[in-house]
Formats: sequence, structure tokens, C-alpha cells
Amino acid sequence: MKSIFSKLGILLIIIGSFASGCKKFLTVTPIDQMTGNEFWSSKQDVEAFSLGTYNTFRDFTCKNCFFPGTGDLRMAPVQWNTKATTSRNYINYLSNNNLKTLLNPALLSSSDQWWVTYGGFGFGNIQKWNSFYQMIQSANIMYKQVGSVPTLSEDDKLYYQAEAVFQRCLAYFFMVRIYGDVPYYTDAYHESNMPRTNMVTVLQSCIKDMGGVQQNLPWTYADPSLRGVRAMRGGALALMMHMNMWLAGFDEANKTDYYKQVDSLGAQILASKAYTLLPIENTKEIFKGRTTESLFEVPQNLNYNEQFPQASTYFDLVLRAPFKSVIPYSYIIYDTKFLNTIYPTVDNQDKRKTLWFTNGLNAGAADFTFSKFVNVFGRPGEDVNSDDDMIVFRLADAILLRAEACANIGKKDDAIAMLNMVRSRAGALLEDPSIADDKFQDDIFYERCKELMGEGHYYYDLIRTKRILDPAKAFGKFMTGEAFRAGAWTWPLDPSAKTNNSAIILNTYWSQ
Amino acid sequence: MKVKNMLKIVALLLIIPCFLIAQNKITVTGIVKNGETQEPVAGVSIYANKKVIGVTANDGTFSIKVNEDAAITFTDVRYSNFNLKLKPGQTTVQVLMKVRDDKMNEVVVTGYAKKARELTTGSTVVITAKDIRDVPSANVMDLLQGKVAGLNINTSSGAPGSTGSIYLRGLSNPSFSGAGADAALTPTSPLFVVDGVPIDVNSTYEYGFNSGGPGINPVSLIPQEDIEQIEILKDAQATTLYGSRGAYGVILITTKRGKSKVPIVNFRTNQFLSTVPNLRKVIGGKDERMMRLSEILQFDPNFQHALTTIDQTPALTDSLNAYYNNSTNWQDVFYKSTWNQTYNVGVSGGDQAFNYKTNIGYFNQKGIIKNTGFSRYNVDMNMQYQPIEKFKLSTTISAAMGENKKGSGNGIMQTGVAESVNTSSLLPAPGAFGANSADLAQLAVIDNNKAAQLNTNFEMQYEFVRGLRATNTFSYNYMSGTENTFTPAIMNGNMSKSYAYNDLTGTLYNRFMLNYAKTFERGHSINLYGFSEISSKKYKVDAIQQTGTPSDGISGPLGAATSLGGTLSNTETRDVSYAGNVSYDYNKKYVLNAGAMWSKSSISGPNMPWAFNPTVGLRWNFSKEKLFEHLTFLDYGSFRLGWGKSSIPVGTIYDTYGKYLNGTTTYNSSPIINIDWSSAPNVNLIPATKTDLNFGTELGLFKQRLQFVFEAYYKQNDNNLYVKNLSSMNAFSQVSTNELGLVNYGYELTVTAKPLSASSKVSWTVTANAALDHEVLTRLPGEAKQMVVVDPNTGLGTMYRVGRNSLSNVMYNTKGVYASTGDVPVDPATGLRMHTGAPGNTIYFQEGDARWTDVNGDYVINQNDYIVCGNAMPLVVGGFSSYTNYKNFTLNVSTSFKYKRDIINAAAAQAFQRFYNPAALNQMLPIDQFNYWAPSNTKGVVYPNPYDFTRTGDYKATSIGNGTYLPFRADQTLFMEDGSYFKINSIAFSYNFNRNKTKKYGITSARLTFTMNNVYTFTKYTGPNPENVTDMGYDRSDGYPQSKNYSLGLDLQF
Repeated sequence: MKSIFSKLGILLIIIGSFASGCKKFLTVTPIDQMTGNEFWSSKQDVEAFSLGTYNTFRDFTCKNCFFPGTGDLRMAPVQWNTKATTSRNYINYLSNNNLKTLLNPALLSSSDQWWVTYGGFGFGNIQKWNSFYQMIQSANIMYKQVGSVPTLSEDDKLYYQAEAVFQRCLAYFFMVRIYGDVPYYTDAYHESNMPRTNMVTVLQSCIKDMGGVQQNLPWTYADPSLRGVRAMRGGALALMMHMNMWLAGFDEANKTDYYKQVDSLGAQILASKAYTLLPIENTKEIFKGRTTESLFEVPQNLNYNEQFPQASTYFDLVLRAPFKSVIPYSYIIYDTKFLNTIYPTVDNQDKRKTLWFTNGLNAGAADFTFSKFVNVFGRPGEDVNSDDDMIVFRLADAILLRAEACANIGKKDDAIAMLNMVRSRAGALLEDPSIADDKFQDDIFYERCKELMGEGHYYYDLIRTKRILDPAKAFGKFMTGEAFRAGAWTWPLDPSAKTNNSAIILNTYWSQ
Repeated sequence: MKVKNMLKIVALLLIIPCFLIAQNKITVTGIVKNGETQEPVAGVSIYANKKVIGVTANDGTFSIKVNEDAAITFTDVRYSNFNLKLKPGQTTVQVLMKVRDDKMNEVVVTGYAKKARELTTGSTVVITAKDIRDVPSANVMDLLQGKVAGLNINTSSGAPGSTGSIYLRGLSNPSFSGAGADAALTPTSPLFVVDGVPIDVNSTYEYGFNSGGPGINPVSLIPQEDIEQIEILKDAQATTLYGSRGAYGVILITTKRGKSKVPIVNFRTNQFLSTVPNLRKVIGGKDERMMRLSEILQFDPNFQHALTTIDQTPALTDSLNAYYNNSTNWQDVFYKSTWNQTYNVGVSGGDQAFNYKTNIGYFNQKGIIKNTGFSRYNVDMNMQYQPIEKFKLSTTISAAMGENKKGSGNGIMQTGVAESVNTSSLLPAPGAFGANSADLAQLAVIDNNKAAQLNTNFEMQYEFVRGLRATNTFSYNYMSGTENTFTPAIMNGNMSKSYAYNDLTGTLYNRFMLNYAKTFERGHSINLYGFSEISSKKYKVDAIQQTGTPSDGISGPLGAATSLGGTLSNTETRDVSYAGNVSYDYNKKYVLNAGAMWSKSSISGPNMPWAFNPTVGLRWNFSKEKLFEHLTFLDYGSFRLGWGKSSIPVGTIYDTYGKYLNGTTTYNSSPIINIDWSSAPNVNLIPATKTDLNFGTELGLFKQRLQFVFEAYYKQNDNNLYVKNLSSMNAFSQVSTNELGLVNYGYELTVTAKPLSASSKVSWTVTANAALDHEVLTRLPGEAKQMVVVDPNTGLGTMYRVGRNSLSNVMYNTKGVYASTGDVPVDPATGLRMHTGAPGNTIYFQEGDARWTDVNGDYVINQNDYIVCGNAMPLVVGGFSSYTNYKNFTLNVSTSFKYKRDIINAAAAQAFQRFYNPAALNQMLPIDQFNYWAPSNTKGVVYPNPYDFTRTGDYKATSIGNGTYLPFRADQTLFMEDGSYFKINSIAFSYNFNRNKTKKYGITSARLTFTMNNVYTFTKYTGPNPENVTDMGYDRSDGYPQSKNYSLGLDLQF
């Protein structure tokens, strides 16, 4: 009779023994969101995360008018084509470095205030470095986490770590060119405050980091859809060349070393034979992207529904009917003196003159068209964008950087060889080896202006070579030495950078 | 074994003992009554030779058969044991049971184990049903205000069913979310354990002023009539075995059980009137118009401009227009008194072997604001079966539903009404073409918020060998909250809006416990127990919203193109704990208690270490020493000391490891994933720790006529979670850290006295308690020494400074008003008068302006002139209550007080601010009661000139240190007031009908009660109610006022 209760008692013990927990019981996998605890578990996770970092770069540089605004228009011999009806005074503010007006909504008419905030222009967004730090944190996190992803091979781990370093260095390089000194860190989940680090230190550290891992990146990808889009060894070397060139401009005491570096890095790119200069007739192909000329680019593709906003692109400024059938006039026109200088009249064979300037070099305000980027896939009557990728670094750019570096360390022959490599591709007159040294250096600069027009290099070339200090060398644009030293060449840093971090000092020139 | 057989055996078991002792017996009959109230007492167990021989019936009568010389004992938990020795030949007796008020005989529960109070080493307070039965309340916790030393309940809202913040022994975590008037402290409510099953109200249930869903706290679903006892565990010694969730204290609620062989039916009803408290006075009709006109004409320096202003304000000029010719009392539109009911029927019965209880209850309180209110429906059942002493089985099922109407507020605040009430009296009363749509919304929004709860509990106990018991408790708690709101088109810009919300919470809980008790020779006793506990909680929230239904007649179903919807939260939490405890006592004189709990939760991720909560306690019942034996006035006396350390896992798994989100776009046609930038992962996040030291002494003197409990505590909270804002160079906007620490220390005193002698016909018990709590901030993030958190909306700052109380205000120091322009200090260096510091908007002080202290002496008033002052937490809280009984009459008075608490009277600031724009059709409040500056009143005035509207600028400070002259900004000491108060919570007067008169109707007991609740508050505070303010000490003008309730209750027992 008592046995029923004993049985229940035993049952009780059994239930009780179930009540002991184990680690498995306590591991709850949230079904609505991923935690870092379970994320880094497969190659797929790393891939998606890495692309997320590139996407942050795309969001900042291609969803704001970044490349044209900071690279092509700023202090450039361009002006708003007033025949184009919409008010585009920002072009003039940029070409006169009048950022105080451009970025102050109080000084703009209400219809112009959208330049500051609107996604496509977003000149105000360029003041905020948050996106770059998102890239840096992401890259640092990836660098740290790939080591513990169980399914990755050792080679994969090295590759992804190198890619993370590339992403980080890319962010720092772009930031340095915009803001000057920036806080520099490489640890994952960084959360402490620090002051701005001298940009020379930042770039030197980046070059060291990138140099240490660049050999883990492939020269190119077998999958053509990844070519130029993901980090490649050529892209990493080009980035290092650019960083060295920037240092050569700002750390003059050691400039010879930097030039030598550029020379050697450029030689490595060429020696790899992984990259080629495509025939100039294939311009459309080059800028559609993913070619063997590309070293690094930001992809855009109508078919994937991945498109840059119109206002953020350079081609939007220089294309008109028939490429953009509803737009009668290009928004900008170049100073004819500038165009005539970079395309001397003696050289009538340069195919770029005809391929890229549909209505001729000296077309006036009514019909100026610059048709370098014309992968337009729109029906008649549609105002659509070109579907060109944003080419950040390409082989021609690297060759010309090497030419410039060689010229500065007395390797004139190498320099001329490099310069002619670009010229001969365009069918232009080759440089005469007997040309005077100073004239020759100008020619390299002009060649960069010509070859890289609309690719976001012009302003940075002016700054790092200090040409901006001499109106004769900068097509009439000018910055005093005092203003230059005070940081007039930087883009004003947003005051929000100081929030929760009192160690940050804003760019003095712009905060006066 | 067949069930039938088993039942037979059970029946036999019950009957056999009766036969065995049926020899040489006499029959004794009689009645058992309450010695004080003369009420018959049902369910008293009658023992002879340690065996139960009977139980009193529901009319208190009994009939037993005993040996002639037997020693008979009457026992009941509510009364002291009554021992009876029959005189020869006696067969009838009247037993007058003495209400048990000897605290030492209380039975307390700590760590799921019952103990006599004289053996406990922790700090606990027991509140019985008697103390909370008279005041009808939607939330029983509100009734504890002022009754328990160290328990501070901040009833910030008078909305029916809302729950105040509960602080046991001061503030435990000074982090808050939201800002200014909306700021809500991180909840650190004690853990509730209802009949042995933990209910955690800190998670899931959304606190704060923006709470989603129906906003019904599980605690408001417990019917007060069903509560037998509430026990509050205060220190670590008492709470350790409840794990991390009990770190902020534990409140145990025990519901009633059947204990009378004859079934008892109890019926209780309260009919109560909730009345509107004194609302603010307003200026209405012609007075308002004239006042606006005179303000404009008198203070606009430009007469033409004044005329234009008037001309452009038709409400001022077009007084004959019916639209403007009103004197609408907007408060009247929304506030009204309401008549409310509660009904409760309880049926219980049974004995030790089998007992049961069923309780059915209904509570309805309509809010004093229209379209708001709370109702509750309950069915609770429990049953216990103990066929043999070794085996016990008990089950509980309780179902409850709460229904909450929020109107256009959120159940706590009445933002919608506040907005509507702030309307000029010149405008017409609500209507589709009325002055504003928020007023209609309050009246016409259809909302339906329900919380349904089902709790089941199943417990088995078995004693394997003498002294060794195994108990398993299993419970499942299911709660569902739904909200349906429909806003008609006219209220929402011609787009009707329908919103549906539902959440589900399911909690599975199991505890397996082994207990061993043994008493050795020579007075050594030992009690060992250990248990393991697991729980799993699933929580899912979905919401759907559709804007623009085809017509107001169609409020659903939802799902058309304009609808939004999704899962807001879907989480699962699992916990595992192990605990062990050992108690030892020697002759009940020296007691040692030590225990520990190891627990782990899935919230903070698998790599978080086990939380380890150890505790040790000692007790010395010194009155049992020989030394004190001759002190006859000393009934009992003891010292106890307890120490404990809790480790509280903080943050979520996302705080530790980060959250990864799917990108909204693709990159190169491949999916992307980003880390969530809102919060940086912090792999170094560690559990918060709380170290608690408690000293207590208890004294009973003069045959319990005077009893003292004194406690002193020191509580150290380290590694509290703090969400730190990061700078933009860190990409993440916030990070959760452990960098906050604070210390609480304080003293608590409870005195219970019976001033009248035992022979007096009047029995009077007075209980008073007070608790003093000091709170000191000891650590700040980044090892900072101080930190100001500024509310971007109001400009109000909160200061954290190490060494001070954690929530201090930063504000201008107002020292009166400049009587004349000549009084304004002039900077000798520049020759300029004192002025404000806004660039391009400098305002020079003049007569009638606030005299703010220029702290840094630069003759410019700006953010550098802020001072740190105030504390939103009260220094002393307490209360006293009195219980008087004379024959059939009882008078029960309960009071509470808070001493030294700073309140920012933003309501007063707002009343002045209304004058900033005499052309804006806001509600105008009279300010006659304030001593403000006027050309005719310049000396000794307190408030600046409210009428000089051209100079006062926008009153809404948008950022701290905004230099415009804002004379009635709330961040100045002018509006910081002492919120000390003394409140008469309730007065209850009850009458017990004579049993002889009611017996013929079959009623064994009848009691009539008249209760007043929220009777009166004595305070110097000038705002509406010093109690009705936010946790941060901010008096919102859009709060829900507390109603005064008058209630008539009837309690019948059959």
C-alpha cells in the first residue's frame, strides 16, 4: 500500500535528477538575430562580413558626392555651367575652396541646403568620419576573428587578414587625405578615447602593416566578377604607392625614401604581369570595371540594383544629351586654358582628345561633353546614370605615380619610360628624352590630369605636390602657405567628433 | 495497484487512528473565538497527544472526543497556541484565542524553507492579510508603502493598475534610460515569489514611461483578498538562495489554503468611489482674455506691435464669435469621479490530509480620467493531499486576466490629456470641429489591452527516511498581453489607424530539493538542504499596424498594403542554479546559518562564469542565557549578523559579443553582414556584485507590549552595468561596461507598542518604522570623478559625482530677483551689466529678472555657473500605523512619510512659462499664489517677472547653457523644492456584527468596513502631489493624478 507513494517518491527523484543543468541547456541561440558568439563560424560569414566593410566604403564615397566633390571639383579650373538651369553653385564653392559657405546651411538659400544633407550630395556627411571608423573597426574585428573560424584553411585566414588590413589602410588613407591627422588604432572593439594621431605616423604605420601582409593577397582573381572589386595585391601596392607619395609631400625630410618606395612598388606591379593597359578604344570597358587594368574599384551594377545616386557621380556633371537625353547642358565646364595645357595643340594624335571629348576639346558652355564614362543603359527620354564602376586605383594611375617618383629621384629614363607607357596606349606623342627637368615634371602632372580626369585625383595631386601654393602651377587657384599649414586643404571635421571625446581638436583653419 | 484499492486504503488510513484511540473518552463541545474581536474562529486545529483530533467549524464550534485527563491544544497560525486542561466533569468550553503578536513565533520562509523567526539570521518582515485587506487596490504593493522599514515605493502614477518603482534599501543602480521628464531608472525591483514560484518583474515587463503592450505588471494580477501573508526579505542572508534575481530583495506572497473541515464560504465586496483630487486652478473666460490683453499692452515696448499682435489673435478680439466666446473647463472634460466595485468569493475547506481552496475575484476601477481604467478577473485554486505523513502532494492553478484602458496615454502618463487640457478656455469643448484632436482622441480612441495569466504549480514531497525529505516543485507560468487600438480617421489626419500588439511569455520552472533535519541530544540541531533549480522562459512580441483602413467602420483585419508589422522581440532565456544551505543551533540559543548558490543564465552567453552567491549568518538569542533569566520584563532579545555576496550577471549576449545584422543591400550581388553599430561588444563584461552586511537586534519587553527591531546595513554595489556613450572615432555609439559602483548604508527601526494594559477593553497596537538610507557613488566610467548627463529636450542635467549621491541636479542657483536695474552687478572691467552668454543673443539683466549666482565671477551667466544640488532619493522613509479594537469596532489607520527628497517643480515652471506668449491659446494658470516681481512689488519677491514676454525668449531650453534668458527654466534652484511629506494613506473603520444576530441567516461572521484611502498629505511642497513625481524627482504636469477613494466593504463568512 505504501508502495504507491514509494513509487511516486522514486518518480520524484527521477524528475529531480532531470533538473540538473548542463552547458548545452544554457546555450540559447537567438533565432531573430546573430550574436558574435555564433557568428564567426564559416567562410560564408567572413565573406559576407568582408563585403559589408566594402559596402561601408561604398556608402561613404559613392553615396555622397565624394570623389567629384573632394577630388575633381575642389580647387579645380571648373565652374558651374550657368546654361544648365538648376542652381549648382556648389560647384563654384568647391572650385574656390569656399567650404565655409558650402557647409553652412544658414548661409545657403533653402533650396540649396540639400547639398549639405541630401544623400546624393551629402557634403555635410563628408565632414563626419564615422563611416571610416566603421570600416576600421570592422576590419580590425575581422582580422581578430578569422583566426578562430574553425572551417577556414590557414591560407584563407591569411588571405582574409590581409584583406582586413587592406580595408583598414584604405580607410586611413582616405581619412588622412580628407581630415589630416586622425586617431589611429588597430585593435578590435576599440572603445577608449584618443587624440588625433599625426598623419605621417598613421600612413607610416599603414604602409608597414600593408607591406607585411600584401603577399597574402592574390595578384588577381580567376573569377572575373571579383577582379578589382576585392582586395588584390596590385591594389594593395597601389595603395602603398599613394600613401608614400602623400608622405613624400608632407614629410619632406624623408621624401627620397618614399619616392624610392614608390618606384620599387610600381616595379613590382609591372613585374607581376598581372595587369595590362587596355586599348584606349576600350574606354567603356575599362570604366565598366573588373578589367585587368583595374587595381581597386567600387562596383556599380544596374542589374544587381546596386546603383550610386546620380548626384554623387562625376559623370552626372559632364554628360548631356544624347547620353542623358533630358539634360540639355553639362553642369560644369572646364577652363579652356586648362584643357589646352594638358592637351597641347601639337599633339593631335592623342585619341583621348576625340574619344573622351565628344564635341571637341574646346566645346563651349552650350555643348561641352566629357564622355569618358558612358556606360549608359537607359531608354530614350530617361535621365539615368552611367553604370560605370568607381575606379579607385588602376594601372595607369600606378604607372604615372611611379613616373613622378622616378623623376624626383633622378631616374629620368625610367620616368620617361613610364610616362610613355601611358601616352603610347592613348596614341599620343611620346615624351622627348631631352626635355628639361622642370618641364618634364610638369608633363607628368599634366598627364595625370589628362589620364585621370574625373577619377577623383586632381585635388590630391595639387595638395601633395604643393602646386596649390603657386597659382601659376594650379591654373590660377591658390592657397597661401599660412592657410595651407593651418589646414585649409582639409575638409572641415564635424564638431560631433568631439562629442564624448574631449581629446579631439577640430581642424583649426575651418573652426576659426 | 488499482486506484480503487488505493482510495480504500487511503480511507482506512484516515479512519484507523480514530478507532485505535477510542477508549475512556468523553465528548467535549465548545466554541473558539478571537479574544479581541469575539469573532468565531474557524479552522483551528485541536490536538491531543500530538495528534489532530478535530478542527473548529466555520462558526467556531467544535465537538471532540478525548480522554478525561488529556491535555488539549488549540493551534492556528494566526493565534498563539491555547492549552487546555479539562476540569473534572467539564464538557463545554469557550476558548478565547490570543492574536499572535509575539514576533518570535512568526514563521518565516527564507530560501524556500520555513523557520521559526527565532532561528532566522536574515532580515525579514512579515505583513499579514489583516494589514492589507481594507483598502481596495489594483496593486497590492501600493498598500505596503509605509509598512515595511526600508521599503520605498515610489507611486509615480495614479493610473489604476500601474505599479510604482519598488526600492528596497535605497537605490541599487543609478543608470537610467530616457531623459528629463521621461527618464526612468533601470528597474531593480525585488523578486516576487508567489507560493514558492519566482516571478521576475524586472525583465519582459517593460518599465518606464514608454512601456509597450498592455503595460500590466504581473503583480497587479494577484488578488489582494487571496493573500494570506507577504514576507519581505531584505538582506543577503535572507535572499541569497533566490539567486541573482533576488539580489535586490525578495517579496514572498503566500495565498490562502483550506484548513476547516467544514467548508468555509467567504464573500467580500468593496464598493468604492474614486474622486478627483484638487486639480490645478485655471483662469477662464473673460478673465483669461483680459489678462492676455493687459499683458500684451503693458509689456510690449512697441505699442503698434502690441496692437498687431492683438489684431492677429481673433480669440482676443472676436469675443462675440461663438467659437471664441467660451469658458471651457478642460479639466472637467476629462476628469470625473467614478464608482467602482470589487467582488471576491472564496471557498475553502479540508484538513491536514486533504484541503482545497477556490477563489473567484473581480476588481474594477475606472480611472478618474475618462476612457482609462483597470479591471481584473481571477480564478485561483489550490489543493493539498497528504495521505500519509511521509508523502505530500499539492497543486495550484490560478488564472487571471487584467484589462487596461490607456486612453490616449500609455497607462502611466496621460500625455494626450495633458496636451488637451493645455488649451485655452476660450475655445469650445471637444467635438469633431473642436480646438484640438488630442482631446477627441482621449475620448474616442478605442483601445483594449489585456493581460492574461495562467499559473500552474505542482509539488510533491516524500520523506525517505526519518528527517530526509525530497521535494519537487514544478510550475508553468503563461502570460499573454494584447493591445488593440483603433484611432478614428478624424483623430489622425483623416487616416484611421489600427494597431494590434501581442506578446506571449511562457516560463517553465522546476526545483528539486533535498532536506535533512535532525535534533541531537543535548540541544544540538542541524538542518541541511540543497536544491537545484532550472527555468526556461520564452518571450515573443508581435505587432501590426495599419494606417488608413477603408472606413472608420472597419478596424480590421489588418494586412493591406499600408500595414506594418513584425516581430519585435523573440527571446528565450534559460537559468540553472544549485544551492546548498546548512543551519545549526544549540538550544535555539546560538544559531549559525550558511549557504551558497551557484547560478548561470543563458542571457549573458555560455562563457560567462557561474554566479556565486555565498552567505553566512549568526544569531544569538541572548535572552535565553541564564544571565537574563531573572529579567522578567525581557520576553526575548537577540542579536544577529549576516553577510552575503551576490553576483548578478548583467547585460545580454549581444552586449558581450555584439549583434550582427543582415545588410539591407547587396554588394557585388552578394549578401552582406554588418555588425550592429549601436552597441560595441564588450567581451570583458563581468557580473555586477553586491556585498551586503547586516546587523540586527530584536527585543520584546513587558509581555510583548513593546517590541523593537533595529537593523543597520552596509550594501556595496560594484561593477554595475553602465551604458557609456562612445565618441564617433569608435564607430560604435555605445558600450556596456561595468564601471559604476555605489554604496548604500542605513538604519532601520521598527517599534510595535501596545500602550494599553492587557486587561483594557480597548486593544490598541501602534507600529512605527523609519529607515534612513545614505547612498554614495563610488565609481564612474573611465574612472571619472564626475559626469553630467544632459537631457537634450529639457536641458536638465543630472550629475554623477563620486562621493555624492548618484542622482544630483545641476542647475542655476537662484537668489531672489533683482528689485531694480541698479541692483544688477556691473563688470568693472567692461562696464557691462551682468548678462547671458549666448553669442548674438546677449540679454542684460534688469529689474524683475532672476538673480542667478555668477559662480565663476565673469559677469556672464552660462553653463559654467551651474551648481550641483539635490537628491531625488528620500533620506528617510517610513510610516506608522495604528490598530484599535473595542468590542465589535475596529479602527485601522495607516500613514507613511518621506523626509528630505528634492523635487523639481516643473509644473510650477510651466505655469509661469505659459505667459511667454500671450497670443498662444494655451491654458492659463493663475499665479497669484506666487510672490512674483511686478513694478508695484519689487522687494523680497521670489519669482521673476512673468509678464515681460518680449524678453523671455523661448522657454524650452534646447541645450544646456543655451544663453538666452529663460527666467522660468526648470533647471534652477527656484523650482527645486523639498518634497518631504507625511501622508495619511488610509483610515479604515470596521464593525463586526454579533454572531448571534447573523447566525439565523447562516452567516457565521459579518464585517462592515468604511475606508478612506489617500486621505491627506501634509507637505510644504507647492506642487500638486509630492508623491506623484518620477523616480528622478521630476514633477511632470502630464502625470496621472492619484484619486482619493471612499470605500464601503462587506465581508461575509458562511
